[in-house]
Amino acid sequence: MTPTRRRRATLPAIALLALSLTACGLSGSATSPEPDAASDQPAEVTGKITFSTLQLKPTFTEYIEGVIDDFEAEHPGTEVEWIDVPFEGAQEKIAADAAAGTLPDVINLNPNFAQPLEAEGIFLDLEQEVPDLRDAYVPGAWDTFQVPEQEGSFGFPWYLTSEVTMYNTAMFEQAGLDPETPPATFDELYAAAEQIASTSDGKVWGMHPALENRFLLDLAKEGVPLLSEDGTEWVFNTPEAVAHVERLTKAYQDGVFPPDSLTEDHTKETEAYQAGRVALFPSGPNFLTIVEENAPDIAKATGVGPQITGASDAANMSVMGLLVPKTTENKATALAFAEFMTNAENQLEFSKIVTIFPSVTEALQDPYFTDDSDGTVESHARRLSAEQLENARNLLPVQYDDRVKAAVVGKVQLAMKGELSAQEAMDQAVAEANAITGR
Amino acid sequence: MTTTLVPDRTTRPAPQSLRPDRSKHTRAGLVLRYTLLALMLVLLVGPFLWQLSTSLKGAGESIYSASPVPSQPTLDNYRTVAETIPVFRYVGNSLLVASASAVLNVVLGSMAGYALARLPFRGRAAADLTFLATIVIPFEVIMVSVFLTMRSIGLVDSLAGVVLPAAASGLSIVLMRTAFLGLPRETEEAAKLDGANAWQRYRHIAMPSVKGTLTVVAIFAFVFAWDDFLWPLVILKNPDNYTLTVGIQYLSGTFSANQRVIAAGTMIAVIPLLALFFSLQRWFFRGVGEGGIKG
Amino acid sequence: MTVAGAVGRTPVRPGRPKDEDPVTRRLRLTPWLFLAPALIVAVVFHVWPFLNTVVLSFTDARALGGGTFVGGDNYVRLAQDPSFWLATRNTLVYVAVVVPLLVLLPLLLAVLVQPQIRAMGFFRSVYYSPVVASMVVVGLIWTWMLASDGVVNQVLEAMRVIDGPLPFLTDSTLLLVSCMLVTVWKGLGYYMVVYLAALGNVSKEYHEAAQVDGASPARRFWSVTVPGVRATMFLVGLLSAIAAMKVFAEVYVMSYGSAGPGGQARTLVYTIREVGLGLGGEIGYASAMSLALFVLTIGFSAGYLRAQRAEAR
Repeated sequence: MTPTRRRRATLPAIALLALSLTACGLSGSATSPEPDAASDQPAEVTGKITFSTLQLKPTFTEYIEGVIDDFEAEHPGTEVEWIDVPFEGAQEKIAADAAAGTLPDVINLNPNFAQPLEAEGIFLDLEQEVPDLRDAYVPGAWDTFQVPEQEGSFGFPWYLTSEVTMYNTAMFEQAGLDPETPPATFDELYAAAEQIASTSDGKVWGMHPALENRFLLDLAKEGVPLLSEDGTEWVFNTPEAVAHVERLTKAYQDGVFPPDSLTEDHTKETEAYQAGRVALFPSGPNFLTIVEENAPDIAKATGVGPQITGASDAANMSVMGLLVPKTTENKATALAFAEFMTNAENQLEFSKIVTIFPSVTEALQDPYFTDDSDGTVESHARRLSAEQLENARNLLPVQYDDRVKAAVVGKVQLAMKGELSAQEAMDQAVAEANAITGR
Repeated sequence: MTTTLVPDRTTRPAPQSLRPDRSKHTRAGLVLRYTLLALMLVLLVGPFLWQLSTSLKGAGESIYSASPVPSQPTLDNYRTVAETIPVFRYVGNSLLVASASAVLNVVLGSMAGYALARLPFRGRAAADLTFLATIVIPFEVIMVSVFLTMRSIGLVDSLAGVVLPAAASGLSIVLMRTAFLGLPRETEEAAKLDGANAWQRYRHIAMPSVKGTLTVVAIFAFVFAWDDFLWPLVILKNPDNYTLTVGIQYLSGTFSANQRVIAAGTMIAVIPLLALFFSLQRWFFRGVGEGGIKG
Repeated sequence: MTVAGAVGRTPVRPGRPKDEDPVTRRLRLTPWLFLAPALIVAVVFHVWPFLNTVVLSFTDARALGGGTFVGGDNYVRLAQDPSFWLATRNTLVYVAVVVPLLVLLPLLLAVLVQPQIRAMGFFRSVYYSPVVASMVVVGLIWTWMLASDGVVNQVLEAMRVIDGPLPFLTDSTLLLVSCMLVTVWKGLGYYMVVYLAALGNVSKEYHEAAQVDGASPARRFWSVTVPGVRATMFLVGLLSAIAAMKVFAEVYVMSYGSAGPGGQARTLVYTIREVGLGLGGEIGYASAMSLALFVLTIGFSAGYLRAQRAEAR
């Protein structure tokens, strides 16, 4: 169904009670931009725009404001107003703004947030607006901001992260494992976790499953096809997936995972690692900083290995993007700013503040990402992560939103508790996921 | 005129002394009472102490260490909060929003509550249903609609936009109404015969008698507005206008989550509320005899 | 339907003869002047958007786009949606368990802290602190206490009540019980305040008379305090029931957003938010579900008030 047809159909239904005010907001303005609205806009880069980010204050206040100053200096007459939106509640805020047609001119979104908005045709198609920019970015990242079965690419890839495997070397030693050799595959990972759990005094567990964060990604890494070829249907109930769920179930019931970990999220996983309750912690390298802040003693014992890979050998990366809505009244400036924010120089500077990675190929070749001769855990993690990026993709389908996630993970939890067989869990998960995505 | 409006004391129970009256409490009774009080203290004070302890822990100390007492207590985390976010500005915004909400709820809630309790009119059921609806409907469900309404009346990104939806909560109205219904009718009937109109009876007879409930309404409205998160976030654009609950979200950034600083932030958000409560709680009893003889 | 009217003891008698004298004709306007400001707020910011919700419940509106009229499809889907029925069941059980506790326990607490004796202001404030504690912190503490190796399990094991740790957080029934515990714990201070204001109304003479008669404290509580705050007890019952119908935060924080394994501890508002919030939210379907909640709550309130009126007679 095309957006325009939808809107036309909407009006009579809602005019019924003459609640026109909301009607035009809820369904109309999201699709309202006129095709030739751009004609009366300044073609030059000048004037005021608003720019919103997802929870980058306070760590990057100075950096972001610096880039904005540089931009304003380079293009006299421009003014960028920066709004940082906390992650909590961000979706509701964006949805309200989209309904009202008051989205910022440049907006920072992750692919899953962006997807439903892209599908509604809210953003400018960058393949048309800035076609020659495509090659500058890491290809896997550029392709993330697309809609299955639809033309166009809607996001300037911004910063990337790629998981590494953090582990507690002291616990490795205690369990008789080599603290210098972190696990690299799922088989090694679970073997190590099991050994740690079985040799500990019952207060230390091998690892934390953090299902909401990892389950579907791990399936992808194990080579399970998540979606059908055309991207319209979930199909991950394969024998490999069933085997993966069986492995999780066994580990949970054998006490390799903490007993309460079943419903816990990534935050609790971080906490468990910081509290010295689990030995292995596969996560973004930026979490090293957080561990250092909260549990300095654990940070000292932490070693870093590459991302765990499975049958498919694929590594995952997470991507952030900058998107420009069609409702912008200053397209030229908005596009110029988004490009400026994501250029090699500015991204390189960004990634020196925290362990994240630039989405521009040129910046990734900087020695900063290839040289770990200073011997710190951070630079080692940085090098591992940057190396992985070369053949990493965003493995998480954009259709995997909060609801699909809740449905899928819920079934896995029931399987791990022994209330469903692994096969039943995967079949039901696929059915529910399709029911949600198909609507 | 005014003299007739002074409540006739003889129709009400004599105001009671607020002085502690120790003679009534036997020593054993007191011991038992304080024991119970201390027991409840342990049960209820946990989160507060945990937060306080975490917020005072130094950088070198693991927040997961077993000891609840910080080994190197420090105020650094509070300083970090003040350096990270414009905490005074956010506290100011929150104070403004919460005070406005408290005043509006006291005034609008008591007026509506008085009408429902004392004034005869048709359409009572419709009014009741309307106010009940404000209690029953989950706000998340109507939030987008309310946002669009706010936009059409130009209140997006203003503190007024934050305050208005909760300016006359059904809860305040129901509480006030129950309090007014508990007052003896005789005083007001007498005033009515003396020619006092509805406003005068409300203002000079009914209101002074329900100070306890007014305090409760004010506290509830204040606390609700102070703690509200999602609505202020949605309606406010300019970070300068953020209230404290929204602002302290910035303490847990995407790439840092220092639990000590976050705990200090939540302490800053909670302490004013407890101070307010502490200073207002004695008012619960000012209206002793507020209801007179009930039922 | 009268809400609070039934709660008070004195029925208002509209249209009594003496209101009919000519001067008071214009006074018919007066009640509306008193009501107007509150009514405007309620209508503009609650009822109007809610009517909108009613309309949307007959469409396929989404957070973004949609909005075609689909007749009663959402309601048909609702009737067949097992997670809606599970949520309804859990919510009703929640109300049934939590409300009696929240009517009685805060009253006992209020009686405990009512006397104007030393340090009482401190105790009152401390007891109020759970009310203002952020839900995140409350979740942190209670999940810590109820964890498999948490304090509660340790104590129970030490007392030999149980052999192994109880899965308070990973069994959906126990999780609901844990959430009820948190609701009651957080509600203690809240309703204590309502009771304190009401206790101020119970005439001290009654207590003193009872004391002279030699009545025990327990007897005084039942024969003097309880009748004196009966109206407030009904009010607290109604308010806590409506609040329990909307329970969400407890379930969310205690299960890290999952509502237990497989989402089996879900409540109605949890499900409404899951379906309707976020950028992929199905506003139409969520609206239908909210309407069901609304009808359920109104129906419950009406039944409650009728029962109370019957009891008062």
